[in-house]
Amino acid sequence: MIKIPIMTGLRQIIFISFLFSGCAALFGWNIHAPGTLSGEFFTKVMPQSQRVALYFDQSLAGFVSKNKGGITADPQTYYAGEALAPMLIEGFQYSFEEFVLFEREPTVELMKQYRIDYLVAVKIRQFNNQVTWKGQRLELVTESAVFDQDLKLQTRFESRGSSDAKKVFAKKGGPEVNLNAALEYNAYAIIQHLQDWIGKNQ
Amino acid sequence: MMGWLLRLITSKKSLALRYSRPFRSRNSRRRLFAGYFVLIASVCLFSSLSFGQEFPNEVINIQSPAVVVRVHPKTGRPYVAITEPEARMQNPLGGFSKPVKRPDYRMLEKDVKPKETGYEGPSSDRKKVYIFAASIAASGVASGTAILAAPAAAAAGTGSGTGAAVFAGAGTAVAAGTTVVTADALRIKPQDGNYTRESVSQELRDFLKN
Repeated sequence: MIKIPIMTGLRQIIFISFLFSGCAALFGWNIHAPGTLSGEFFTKVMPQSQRVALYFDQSLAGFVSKNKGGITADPQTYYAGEALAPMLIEGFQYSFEEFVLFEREPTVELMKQYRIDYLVAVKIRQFNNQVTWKGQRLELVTESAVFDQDLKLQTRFESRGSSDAKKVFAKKGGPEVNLNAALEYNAYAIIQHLQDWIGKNQ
Repeated sequence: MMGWLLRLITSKKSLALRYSRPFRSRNSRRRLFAGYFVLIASVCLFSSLSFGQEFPNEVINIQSPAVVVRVHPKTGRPYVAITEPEARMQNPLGGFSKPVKRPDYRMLEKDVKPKETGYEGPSSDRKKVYIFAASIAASGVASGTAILAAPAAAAAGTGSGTGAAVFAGAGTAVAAGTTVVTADALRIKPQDGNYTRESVSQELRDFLKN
């Protein structure tokens, strides 16, 4: 016969309140990245004199991942899209002298009217998280498609940006900066690939 | 021509002289105001028509997609955006209040504290994790729920101040329970080396064929 200890007093109140209030909502990590590029980005990328447009739909800016990175890890919510969108804009702004953002679906007429040479459409494919006892590795995988002025597909590439750091959760702002780093390295991979491709195809 | 105009103005029947004298009747006053109104309206009408044709400006048709200058929500730097006419007033990425300080990734290195890099960006509230862990420890529940909180303690390490002290109690509760074997089995070997980062891009040729 197994004896079940009966909880009384404060313990019972705490247990019942946690049971009925939804523990997952009470504990966990809501991670919002700063959403700006680090100073390192500007030392690595050289601006290119080109008119380039960027397009991403609202699903990118609203992308949220609840991948907690391991069965034993705490619940985590990563608001990756809200940081990636401004980082991509900032990266493109710096990397191409004439930058245009399409907030609506691009058309051939618009591309010709504003003489835009290339349009880059970016979407998120995967968000990977690996939480270990020592640290955390975050990785973002995106897919980019490059179109010409007639909106004909020119090239398509996959970019990966990752950040692997120790004691992430021990530091104030650690998970946020780790997420920011993964997003930035992804943006860097996109821009570098694009600049190389434009350089070769001009 | 000039002589004729002068004669017209100075003659007794001329309008200028007639209305320069004090008004004698209400009808004459009304006629004067009506005359001024017609004169001003016709000047406005003709000037707008002629200037519109001679000096066209770069007004964008409201029905066509609008070209707007947006302000970057984090840096405040302006950029050009093409949007729908009805969405021209609102930036979908939010408004700009003040420039966000750029993050310094040295902070992610093993022995660097956030204070050393002067990080001022967003951070999650860790307290709720510790409060939950402490409550679990207090209630004596060493089940699967308790073990969920364990890796946070391992990842948090020793530099977490009072929170870590509270969490240490939770760790003992887990260790004292029946789930120690499970915890050992799930433990991942610590990786060597410091902060690493990767940035790779590769062309997807299979998509081009489709």
